Amino acid sequence: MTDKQTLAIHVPVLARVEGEGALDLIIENELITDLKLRIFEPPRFFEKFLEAREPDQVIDMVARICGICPVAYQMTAVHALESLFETDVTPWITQMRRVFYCGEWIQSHALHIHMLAMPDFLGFTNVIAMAEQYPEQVRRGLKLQTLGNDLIALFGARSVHPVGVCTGGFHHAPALQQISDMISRLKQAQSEARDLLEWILSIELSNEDQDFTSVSLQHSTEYAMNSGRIVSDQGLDIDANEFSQHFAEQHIEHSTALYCFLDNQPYLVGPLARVNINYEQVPDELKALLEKNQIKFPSKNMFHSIIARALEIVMCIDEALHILGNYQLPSQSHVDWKAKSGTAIAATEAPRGLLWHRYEINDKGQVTEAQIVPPTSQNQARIEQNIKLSLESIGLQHSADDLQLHAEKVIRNYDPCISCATHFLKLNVTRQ
Amino acid sequence: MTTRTAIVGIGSYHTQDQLGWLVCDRLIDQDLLSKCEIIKCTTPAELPEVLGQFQQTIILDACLVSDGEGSIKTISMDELANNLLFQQSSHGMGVTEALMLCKALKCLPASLTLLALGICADTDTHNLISNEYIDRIVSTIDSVQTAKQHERIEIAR
Repeated sequence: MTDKQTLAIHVPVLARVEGEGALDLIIENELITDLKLRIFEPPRFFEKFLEAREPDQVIDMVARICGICPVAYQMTAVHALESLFETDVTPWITQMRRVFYCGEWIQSHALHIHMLAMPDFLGFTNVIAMAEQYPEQVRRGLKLQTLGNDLIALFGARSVHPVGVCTGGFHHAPALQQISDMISRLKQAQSEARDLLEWILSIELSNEDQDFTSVSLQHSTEYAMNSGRIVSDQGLDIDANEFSQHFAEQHIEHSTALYCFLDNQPYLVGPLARVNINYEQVPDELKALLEKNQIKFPSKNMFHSIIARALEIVMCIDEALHILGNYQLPSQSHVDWKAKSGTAIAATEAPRGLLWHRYEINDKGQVTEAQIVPPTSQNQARIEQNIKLSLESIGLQHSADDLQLHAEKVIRNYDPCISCATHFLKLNVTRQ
Repeated sequence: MTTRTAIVGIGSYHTQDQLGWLVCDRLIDQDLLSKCEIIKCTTPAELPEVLGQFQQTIILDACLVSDGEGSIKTISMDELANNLLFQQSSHGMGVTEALMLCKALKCLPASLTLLALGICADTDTHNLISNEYIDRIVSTIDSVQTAKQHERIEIAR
């Protein structure tokens, strides 16, 4: 007769993620019987705050949802509103929005790779310990992060919670000298970003293929960022307006963030999903580098997310340089627009994945209802699924410390932004 | 690397966290520390590059205290290291963690002092920075510089 063995692992506070969450795991007789990614960061009620606000107020307010990806929130909101208002922006505005978004991808990815993820892959407890052995790599990472921040500030006036975006475009156009200075820095960063990618490719990553569905935007002429159709590698191909017919948010008892499912199943959004779906649009030079290192996309190895991030840093620097290389001062940095009532919907690609907004607008041009589905809500169910499969793959006989460390590594690999995800709390009030 | 002293104000655009920047603005506007280089920083990621350029740096940062709004506390690098509460999410990485990272990267200046500028939850930073308050900050910076000069003389002997 075998005694029943129970191992309970509680990680009360997850380190090196954005916001406050925890992990509870119960293993009974070498089977995982309970696994909860508990998000207990207080709900922030942003969707409610947006009610009665006018378009430009919405754009400024959604930037406050996240200190790391404010551009994503602003771009999604402005595209949703302009879509409803039938605002035709100029090619200059479309291109500069792409550069603005590139800045955010560069800074967010550089931050995640160096501060949050690489210490895991190299066996350090944090970036400070890692910096003693890898000083040049950490310096390079900080420099790339600063470059991304400065690219955001070029159009947003500041990198944290930028204020440069308005309905119809930007409040101002950067001066030619500012663009010239930025071009010099981007040129220098091209080789640094490639060195970063080669460094990441030289690291031995766990090889754990899993079965999951990738979801991202796809655009016919560019690597999707500000627009495109919502596509999965299982055949989904829809307009952002059809999101609610396939995706549904659910409240789960142990989380203050909603879980989002695709046809009732977990799915993946983020850099790995983007590269998986849009690999055809990755430049040949970079594909050759990946192939030389025996890395194949589409990939089912979740730990290839860090490669996808480094790859996107290279692509964003190249693209920002290309666009700014043809920069000319526009006659106007924003176009006129007229509010109208209806439903405003858009999706863009935040650094962490698909971000979907819906606003109901009344005839005064004010928001009457808002719904925001951030990437971390979409990834939560997938993270839980990933932890379970990954722990079973390495073997549940490992010590509690080893299992905990591996589970944390799996979670951090998603770069979850818990602060972004906690917009909503289902509140039940019983009155007697 | 320059022998000039850097005065680095850490801050953001938000509420009391602006204090380090507001003090820098006043020091520049009134030309109070003309022999120093006054720099405003936003994110910890900027610190390694900035600090690596100077032999002596004094950092100004708002510090939430339960009492003593307007206090100016001098904290050395050793004291900071002993009080390190390492959180390290990108939202939570503070000046202390950033300085420890600078130390690991070997880009700390030979002399580094943090001036913790005491604020309370309801401090109005614009009201706080009176002429008297700025004078106290300038005086504290002078004292730190003088003490460091004496240290260097002692070491040279």
